[in-house]
Amino acid sequence: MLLNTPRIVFAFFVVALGAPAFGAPGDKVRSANTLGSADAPVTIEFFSDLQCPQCARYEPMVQAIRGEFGDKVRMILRHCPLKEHEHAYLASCAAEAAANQGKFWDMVARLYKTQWIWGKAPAPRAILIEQAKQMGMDTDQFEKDMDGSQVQNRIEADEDHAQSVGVKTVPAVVINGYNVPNSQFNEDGFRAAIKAALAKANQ
Amino acid sequence: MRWSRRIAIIAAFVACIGLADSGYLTIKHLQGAYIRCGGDCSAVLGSRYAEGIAGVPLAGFGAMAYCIAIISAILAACGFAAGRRIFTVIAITMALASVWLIYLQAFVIHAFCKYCLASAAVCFTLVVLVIIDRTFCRSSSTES
Repeated sequence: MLLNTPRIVFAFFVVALGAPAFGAPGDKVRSANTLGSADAPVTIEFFSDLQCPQCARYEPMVQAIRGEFGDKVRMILRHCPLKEHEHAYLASCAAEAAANQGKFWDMVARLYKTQWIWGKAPAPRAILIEQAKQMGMDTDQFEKDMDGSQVQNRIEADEDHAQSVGVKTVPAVVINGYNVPNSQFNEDGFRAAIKAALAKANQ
Repeated sequence: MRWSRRIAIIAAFVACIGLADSGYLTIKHLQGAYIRCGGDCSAVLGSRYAEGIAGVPLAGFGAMAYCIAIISAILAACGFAAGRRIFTVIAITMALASVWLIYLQAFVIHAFCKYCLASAAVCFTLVVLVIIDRTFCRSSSTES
């Protein structure tokens, strides 16, 4: 037991200090917004604006790369709606409302695919509700959740987190606190950053 | 100065505008400027269609095509028949490529980039110059 004490103390500090930065348990990240094991040593945070075409391009790519690493890597989608995109915040609300019905990732994928429709629509709300209906959701609950403060608080928490890790634009990929730069913002670059984070985590 | 030569000089200047446009896009692409979201241009220029081949972005191929167009137009202005033929082929090829790129922007990417549209306008202008040259300057060219 005494031999294990330093390890326990170390683990305590890792959880206590690492959690807020990487989105480990305790930082209000819900399982609905994550892919992969909660115990994964590496966490990818994908900061997305659901109206951003580049996010629509890179998010599935990052998701596929995460899949290559199995349980060693988990992915969190963080909301970072830009002010330039007038419907991005509403889309984030829709995704979070879908999360309440266990369809967060399905909704995100659908929003990316159809962003050219709702992104330029004068009244996108009806389109988002129609999509929720097509996905078999309870639309009354969906609408209620979309307008609820709980959903808005989650988005604001993600925005605050984006600021705290130095994310200023989207898409942004932060791997165990490392904000992947432009020069590395591609498939090979993401893999290399994940491998480096895994190697560091295994030390 | 013969009309054919004048048209070739005008074409070289117009192609220079296209080279400046595509050269700018190539440099920005290589700097990774379109990775992050920044409106319709980044949607188009950051798409997989803009990536090109073997690390050379599509705008880079455009810049190379404009270089060929400028050189062939200068050769045509100097009286080389081969320059005139090469210019005709490259101008038509670029215009067809522009039609395909406009189709991609309108129906696949669902966003328009002003730099790409400017390049398309340059390509169509080059084709118009080719048509004028081939239609109205044929007799004077064959006479010489």
